Amino acid sequence: MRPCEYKRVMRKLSFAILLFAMLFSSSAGQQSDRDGPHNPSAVTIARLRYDGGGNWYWGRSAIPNLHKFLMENTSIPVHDIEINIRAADTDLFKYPFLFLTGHGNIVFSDDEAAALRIYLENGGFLFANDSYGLAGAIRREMKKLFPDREFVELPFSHPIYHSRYDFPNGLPKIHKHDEKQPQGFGIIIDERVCVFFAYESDIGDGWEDPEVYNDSREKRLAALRMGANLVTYALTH
Amino acid sequence: MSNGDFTVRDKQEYKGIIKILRALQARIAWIDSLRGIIIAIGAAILLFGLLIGTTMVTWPDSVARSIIDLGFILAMALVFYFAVIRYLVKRKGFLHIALLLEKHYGKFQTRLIAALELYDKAKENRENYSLDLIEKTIEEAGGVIAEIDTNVVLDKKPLLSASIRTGFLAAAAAICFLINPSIVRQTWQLYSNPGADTNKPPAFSLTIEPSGGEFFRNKDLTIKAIPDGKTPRSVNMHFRFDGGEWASEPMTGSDDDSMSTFTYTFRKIKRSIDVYAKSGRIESDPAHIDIVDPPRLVDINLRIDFPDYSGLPDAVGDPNDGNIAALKGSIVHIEATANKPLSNAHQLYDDSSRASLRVDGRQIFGRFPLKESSRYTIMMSDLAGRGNPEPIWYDIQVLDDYPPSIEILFPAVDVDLSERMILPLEVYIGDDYGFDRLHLVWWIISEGHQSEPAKERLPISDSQAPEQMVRYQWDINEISPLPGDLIYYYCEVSDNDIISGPKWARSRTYLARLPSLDEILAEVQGSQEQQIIELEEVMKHQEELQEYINEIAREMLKASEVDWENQQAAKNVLEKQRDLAERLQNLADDMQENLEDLQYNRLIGEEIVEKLQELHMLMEEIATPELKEAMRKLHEALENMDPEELRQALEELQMTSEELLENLDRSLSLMKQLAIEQKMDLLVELAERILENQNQINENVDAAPDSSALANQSQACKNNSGQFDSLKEQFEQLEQMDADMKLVPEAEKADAEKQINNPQIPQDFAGMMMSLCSGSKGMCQKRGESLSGNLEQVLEALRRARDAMQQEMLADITRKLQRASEDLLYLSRRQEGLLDSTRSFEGSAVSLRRFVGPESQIEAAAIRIAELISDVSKQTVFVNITLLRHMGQILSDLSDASKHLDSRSAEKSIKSEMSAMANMNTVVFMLMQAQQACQSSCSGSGMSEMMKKMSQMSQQQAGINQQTMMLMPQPGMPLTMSQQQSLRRLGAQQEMLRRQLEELNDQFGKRGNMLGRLDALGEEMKKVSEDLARSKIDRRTIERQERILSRLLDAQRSVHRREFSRKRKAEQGIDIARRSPVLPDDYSNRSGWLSNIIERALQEGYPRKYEKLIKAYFRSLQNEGAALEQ
Repeated sequence: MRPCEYKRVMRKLSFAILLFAMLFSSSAGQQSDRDGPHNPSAVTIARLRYDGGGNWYWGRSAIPNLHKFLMENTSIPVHDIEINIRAADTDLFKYPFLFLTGHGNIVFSDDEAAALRIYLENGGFLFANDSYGLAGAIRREMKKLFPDREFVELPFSHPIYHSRYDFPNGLPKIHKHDEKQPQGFGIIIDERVCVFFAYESDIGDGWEDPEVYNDSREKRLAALRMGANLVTYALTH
Repeated sequence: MSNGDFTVRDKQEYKGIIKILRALQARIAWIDSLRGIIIAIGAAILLFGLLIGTTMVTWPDSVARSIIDLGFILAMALVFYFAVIRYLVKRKGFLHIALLLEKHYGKFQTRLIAALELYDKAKENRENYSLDLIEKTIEEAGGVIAEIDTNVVLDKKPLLSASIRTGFLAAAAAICFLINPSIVRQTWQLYSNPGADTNKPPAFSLTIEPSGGEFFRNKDLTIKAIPDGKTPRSVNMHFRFDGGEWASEPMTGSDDDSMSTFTYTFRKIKRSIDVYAKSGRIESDPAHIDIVDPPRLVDINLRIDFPDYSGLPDAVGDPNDGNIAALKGSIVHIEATANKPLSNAHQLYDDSSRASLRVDGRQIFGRFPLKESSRYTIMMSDLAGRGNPEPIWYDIQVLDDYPPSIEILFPAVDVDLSERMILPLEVYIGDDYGFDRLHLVWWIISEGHQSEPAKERLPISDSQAPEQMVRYQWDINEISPLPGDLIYYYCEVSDNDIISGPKWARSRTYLARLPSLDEILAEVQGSQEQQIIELEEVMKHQEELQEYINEIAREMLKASEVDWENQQAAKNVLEKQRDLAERLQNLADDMQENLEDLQYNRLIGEEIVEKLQELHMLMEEIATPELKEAMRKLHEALENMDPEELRQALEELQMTSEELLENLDRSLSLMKQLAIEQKMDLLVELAERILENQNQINENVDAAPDSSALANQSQACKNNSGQFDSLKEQFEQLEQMDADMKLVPEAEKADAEKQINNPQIPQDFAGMMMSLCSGSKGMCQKRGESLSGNLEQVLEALRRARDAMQQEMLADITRKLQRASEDLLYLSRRQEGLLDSTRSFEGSAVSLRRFVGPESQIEAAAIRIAELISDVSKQTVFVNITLLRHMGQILSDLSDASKHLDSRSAEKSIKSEMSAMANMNTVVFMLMQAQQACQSSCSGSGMSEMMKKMSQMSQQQAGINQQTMMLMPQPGMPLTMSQQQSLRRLGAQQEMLRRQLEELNDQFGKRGNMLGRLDALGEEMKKVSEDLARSKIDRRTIERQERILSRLLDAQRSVHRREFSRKRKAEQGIDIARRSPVLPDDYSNRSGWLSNIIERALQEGYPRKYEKLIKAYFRSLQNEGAALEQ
């Protein structure tokens, strides 16, 4: 077995075992899993900071609400803290799930691009949320990371739409924006989606407190469920 | 000498020999005796061993023991005599000893023996020996014996041999004793007292442990019975509690340290006990064990005083939990209770150090500071001195105060400073327990020299808040940098940890550069020239393309099918058109960048900004949706290979291409015109700066105390002179640019030229520089005054030229717009009359043709008006594309109306006439709007006013936010009356701001949308004002306020960002149903993927339990995938 295959298999096995540990643990075990800060296997969702002025900080209540949803509706252990991290930070590899959002421009420095590429090639997951006008910049920057790869639109049968909740029609439409159809694009490495770009959907805004955009309960729930799917997919693939 | 008559000396010699020999004789006797003693001991051991053997075989009675004892004594007496006494009594003779010496020392040459024998004979001398010979022999023997070591003849080998043998015997005896000490003791007892009536002892005895004392209640008490002698098969434990009835239990045998023992354990014993062990008839001694209570903790409570700097309130630990997790430097108070009164207590740490605790009856009190992570327990003694067994150990976990974090969020990139030299900073600081100081540190690199770093303390609004954003307007004017200087800066923050000392964090270092005006102008100007050239090229290509399209369209009309050549030609058209559209978009982007640079550096007036912005939008709209649609249709037609469809698509593209050409022509004209306006603005701005600089130099000269201070101004003077040269060059460029368009009125231009080329100005500059260097203050002042006066005239002349140009342009545009709208109104009325006539016409259809003439006249007039509008659209950006399209529609309607009248179709004619009339009215309305917009722009109102208001509102919002933050109550603390009043006042201010926002929205209507979701912002403001009015503020209120401020700042920050906000619709989306996309082949080939993975995974050698789970997991994945694909 080649070294890269070996690593890939080992990674999948680790995730598989982790998943089983979560699924088959006793109720007492589940309780302890939710304790958070003392649980070394708990997931921390990190917000990716970037240059370029695209409002990386957009949506302050988004991640806390997703945390809450995951804790209440799944057995995924979660650290209920939001981490802001830059791609070049050495702690990047502590976080299996990165959340990127904003509008307009994103710029990754060469160092950041190199670090992010290593992270994504080795099991990391980036969820890029188009909160409006992000498509051009994210495509450009991803090309900087992966010159040999393209975003591909994921079919509705892809596990990312079914890993926990079923989305038979693909990405839900949360916000109107240009009234275009929502599209979920992925960059796939070794048959694993390592970057998921939600275009014209604005899942991230859907995670925000209800009073921020006055979104209906259904829309918010759809956004949070899609978020749970992404986290589940990131942890199990 | 006579016989028997020895001299005294001879006698002495002989006596010396005898003395030596006697001493040697005694030593030999003692050695022999000692050997005898050792042999006797060995014999005794041997004999005692025989006795032990006898005892083991039989238990002799007293008579037999007496005989044996007698025999033992006799044997020992004989051994002692022959081995010891004999040697002491009968010692070796001198001659024997002399013989030994002679043997050992040959130099005696038998003289010693001779001396001994002859001395006695010499007394009588019967043989008549020569006395001299005897004397000589004695003398020589005495001499030799005195010199030698006589001890060499002592033979110690027998002694050593005896010792070794006896030693072996003794060792063997010791081993026997260790193996079976009882038989040794019994043998000794038996034969040491042969007359006693001694019975044979039992095979073993029993002892128990513990043999008495105290034991702690509720602990397991194990009684151990230890047999001495033969190991019994079983042992029973007999016991009774508190003097009650005896009971017995069998004990459990075990081998403990190679010794057989029997044990019995009383679980959690509670009462005092008497106990003994018994096996058969053999019993151990009884033991009494008292059961007592040990001292122990029944309760422990902790209270933690956190260090003051942390701002944390005192914390009380969980009841009966002695574990501690707190910040370093915290004081921990212990209050514990024991089960009984205590005499003393202390804390014991895991490094064996201890700290005393105060005891009061059962209570224990203490306090200690947290220094490091460790463990501790509480040791105590009761009044009887009993300690607490197995004390509980508690953890001490010292929590770290982490270092702070800091980041400059804005600008967060290296920047060029604007002319205002105010750099707004937005610094994020974070720490777990708050901050002490925040510094801005900077240094300047000016002409290769680096200054010392300087530091400025920035205010922190709430030093206890764990996270906050510090906004600071850094006025770089105070540093007085020169153009081209590099200012490096970073921020550093320290936390408030006074226990371990403050920890510092430092942001990235950024660079702020003050570009010279020439640099900015050259860059912008170069870029603008490039844009005009690019636009001209695009236009040229578009014209060529238009020709090409026409040609292909003609070819297509002839062709009945799409051949390969036509197809390639159409494809070529499409490619070229796409390429041109892309170039136009790039041009629009470049224009936007230039605009931002100019705005940022305040190099142009707001009206020019507005015009450039409109022009930018025009450029973006040049590639119209119609053009895009035509290109799409052409693409589809090419794919479908349908000749009719392709013909239609080409025709459509032909038409839109024409429109594109018109727009390009207009844009080019506007761009050139704007370039001149802009250049004029730049000249005025440059002249203002030069004058300002000169006035500053003059002030400095007036205040200069000495010649060196004057010399310091020479560089500034030189720079200013350079800028003036630049002004002259710029003016020449303006003249060239305006040569064709002639926008600047000739008289004013000539006046400005005259002032700029005033020869006195360069002379004054040169003279002033010389005077500054030579330190002639008076001359400097004179030249300075002259310069200021002349430069002021230059500035005034340029201003007049600019104002005249603007006024003439405005007048011309207004006149044309006015004329166009009036003419169109007139036509509209005529059209109305004609329409009424057409409607009310009751004659024959043929007679309808008489209306064709008037309708054609209206059409001809409309064409003239359209030309006028087209002409004015090249002068002002406010005549937009929509207006031009409506105008085009009017011409089309009028043409149609004429055609219908000519074809006697009254109904269709009426319809076209009505449409023409409606469009005329619309165009008139739009012309009036354009007129107003034009006047408004020129009068300075417009976007600049809106931005000014937005800026004021941002400042007000920042103030409200800051005050709200200061009034934010501590958790659990109620607001005072005055605080509530302040909040209500802030609520009123917030409400006022919301109304201003509404007014702004209403006032600027459509343009207000550029600010983005201001309606949502209004809602946020409303919620905040309500919260404040109710004195109900929390984290969310603060966050809302931050959002509001952020949006207001964003609205001003860049036009680009505003565009995003304008388009960003945060309204709820509606689900859109569509087909699922399909993954490209490269990605969808997944056959066998899961099975490969599972195969490889199972080869890793995981335990069977995991293998099952892994198989099940992959199987479920496979099933799920299959189901989904179905």
